[in-house]
Amino acid sequence: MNRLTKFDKFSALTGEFMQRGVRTNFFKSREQIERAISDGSVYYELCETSLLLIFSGKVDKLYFMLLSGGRFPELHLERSTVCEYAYKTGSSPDVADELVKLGLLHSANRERYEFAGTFPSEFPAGVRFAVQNDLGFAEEVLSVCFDPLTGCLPTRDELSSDIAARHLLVADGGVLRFSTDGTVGELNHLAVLPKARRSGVGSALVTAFLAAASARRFRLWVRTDNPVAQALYRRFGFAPGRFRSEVFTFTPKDQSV
Amino acid sequence: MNMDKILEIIRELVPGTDVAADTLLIEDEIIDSFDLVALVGELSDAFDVQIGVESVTPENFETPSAIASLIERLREG
Repeated sequence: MNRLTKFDKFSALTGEFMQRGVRTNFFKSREQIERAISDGSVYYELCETSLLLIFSGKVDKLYFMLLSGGRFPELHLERSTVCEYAYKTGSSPDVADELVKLGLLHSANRERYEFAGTFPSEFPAGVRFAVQNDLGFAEEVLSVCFDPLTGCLPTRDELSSDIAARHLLVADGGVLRFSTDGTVGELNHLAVLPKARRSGVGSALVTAFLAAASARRFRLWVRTDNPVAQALYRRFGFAPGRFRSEVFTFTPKDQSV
Repeated sequence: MNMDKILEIIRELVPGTDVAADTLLIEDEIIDSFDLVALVGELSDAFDVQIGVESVTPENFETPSAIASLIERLREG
């Protein structure tokens, strides 16, 4: 694997692969890419028909750009890695075989839900915007509720930025992370401690999210094997939309995350 | 002219949609991030420019006009 040290190099590599028929799961902003390159955490493996990019972190994230009919380059994964790719419902993604050859296992499916309900009129009691003092609590609740490998958990820095941007809500025993670009508000993580479940904390947090995120549309991704979460979102008027995703993971032998 | 070509490409990508130079492509969900890669491929071929992933941002693809300015910038660049 080769480490990427210059943004120009990244640009040249990906530019070659932005062509007709290419399949990719790579969508990041220039800012995110530049930050990762300056942190020294971006690696790549290249062959004629595909480019693999690894963004190294707590868990490595694998991105690919694959020409139609192409094959992935040889790559020996050594660290815990996750690769998620989304596709339109009804189309059939066909990179699964290539990912399995790299040693990844299919481990989850997610569905994108779109909001078509009615807006809450009030911000609920018992929910507030997180402050920096809530950082430890938020980290704890998220780590209890999400699989570290597939949960796309934010780093401490990201959580801290969420707090500064007023994108993190807390309630007794629960947290909700969201993002918004002014048009689309996305619920990124909803986590409620087991002892606080079935008490309305999750509903209060979702109500607060809908009331607080200034956006015209709302959406979220939910695992297809999580009926409890699906039922909660459906009660608010969220329903499956046009996209699904498959999540593949790699865990090194003799090592847990 | 660039704009006619851009509109033609978008109409082919999302048939049955009424698209003009100032149509909000992303905000009105005429195209989504999954269509963007296909669109970028078509644009690269048609205008002989190299568009890197980092240029594939909502701002650059907000409207056909924004796409036209992106192509201008890349050609000058």
